[in-house]
Amino acid sequence: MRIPRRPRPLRPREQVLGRRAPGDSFLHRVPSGAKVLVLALVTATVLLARDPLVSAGVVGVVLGAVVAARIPLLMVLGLIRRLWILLVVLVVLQVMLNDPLTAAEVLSRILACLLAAQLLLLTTEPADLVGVLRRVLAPLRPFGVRPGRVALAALIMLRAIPYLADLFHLGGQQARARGLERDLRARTVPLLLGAVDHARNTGRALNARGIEEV
Amino acid sequence: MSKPAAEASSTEMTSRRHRAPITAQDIALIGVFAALIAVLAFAPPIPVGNFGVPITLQTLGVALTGLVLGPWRGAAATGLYVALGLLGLPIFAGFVGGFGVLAGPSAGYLLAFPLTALVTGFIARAVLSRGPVRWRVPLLFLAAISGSMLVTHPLGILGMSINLEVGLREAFFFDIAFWPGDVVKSLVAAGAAALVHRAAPWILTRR
Repeated sequence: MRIPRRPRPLRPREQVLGRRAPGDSFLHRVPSGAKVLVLALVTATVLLARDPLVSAGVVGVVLGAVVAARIPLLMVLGLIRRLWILLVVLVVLQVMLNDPLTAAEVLSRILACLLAAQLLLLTTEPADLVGVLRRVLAPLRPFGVRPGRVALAALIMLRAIPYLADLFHLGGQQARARGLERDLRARTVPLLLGAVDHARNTGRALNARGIEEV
Repeated sequence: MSKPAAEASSTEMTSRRHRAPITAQDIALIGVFAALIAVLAFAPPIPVGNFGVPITLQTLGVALTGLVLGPWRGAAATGLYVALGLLGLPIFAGFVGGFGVLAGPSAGYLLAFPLTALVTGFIARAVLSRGPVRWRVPLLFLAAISGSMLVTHPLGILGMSINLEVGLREAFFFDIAFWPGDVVKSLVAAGAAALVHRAAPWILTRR
């Protein structure tokens, strides 16, 4: 089957959060609230069942969904590449302290939960998750929680992450230039002061738009 | 000119009676500090000191948030970080996110973070409003280390014990590995927080 070619859209600069799988599959189109709900149910099932067969089944279903949605398998398995040392240490500890069966159970449980979460992440925009958070918090309104406020803080957070990541990188380079790459203080203080400054400017920008008390 | 001044004095009056209202500035601080924790969590372990022991910085962010923002805003920022991470943003250490981390060994530590920021923030606020300026850094260090020792480590040990199917004793011994790094991070956090409160005293003025 030949897939019609579309012009490639400009890619936004998203180094930190931009791990979204390309495409427009059924997984991309399902409302993000439903995806979060399914993920929560799957995680709860795996955590409560504590059964290697259930966990392995979830891993299978997740990989099946990945293939069905035509998400590059490497993007999902990249998670394991980033965490493999931790996973190896876990298995060794389990075999030493418990029996191999428990090791298999713990490993499959962690893999199932993390892979399912990774699938959500690859098919959902971060800003959509803020909307989900807002809806989740709506029932807490009588207890003094203001979902709009939380969503505003969450959006400010999403905006601040790339800025602060740049700042942290820059601070590391400056520390290295001074021969202080092993000095934790030299690497974190510029980041902290920059964060306070950014928060001050954001607060002023909100005030300038007439938002004083949210 | 007179109207904003009158409003300001009225907010000061209310803040004396009970907590000050939450302003847009507070929301901005909460959001930016949640981002700060995320950025520090992304950082690959940094070799520190002469021996080059690698240290991860996630808990440094939590300590800084409590020390700089005080108890309630600190807990709100940390809670926002944990909530968005659990919903699926990859903002935990190792670019992990989603409810899946609840199955992992670090679940207890993550869920403890808001409470840690609360405890650290309470002590830090008392230190900053009443403590002598000379003792500020040591006392802030005390605030950071007690938040970590009273909340993060006990809950982290509990989480490891449940998720890894090991006894509390074994989990305690795994946990000891984090203690030296914790002392270093608390020292750095105390020094940096004292610096921030000197450079930007407006952060804690009304709280």
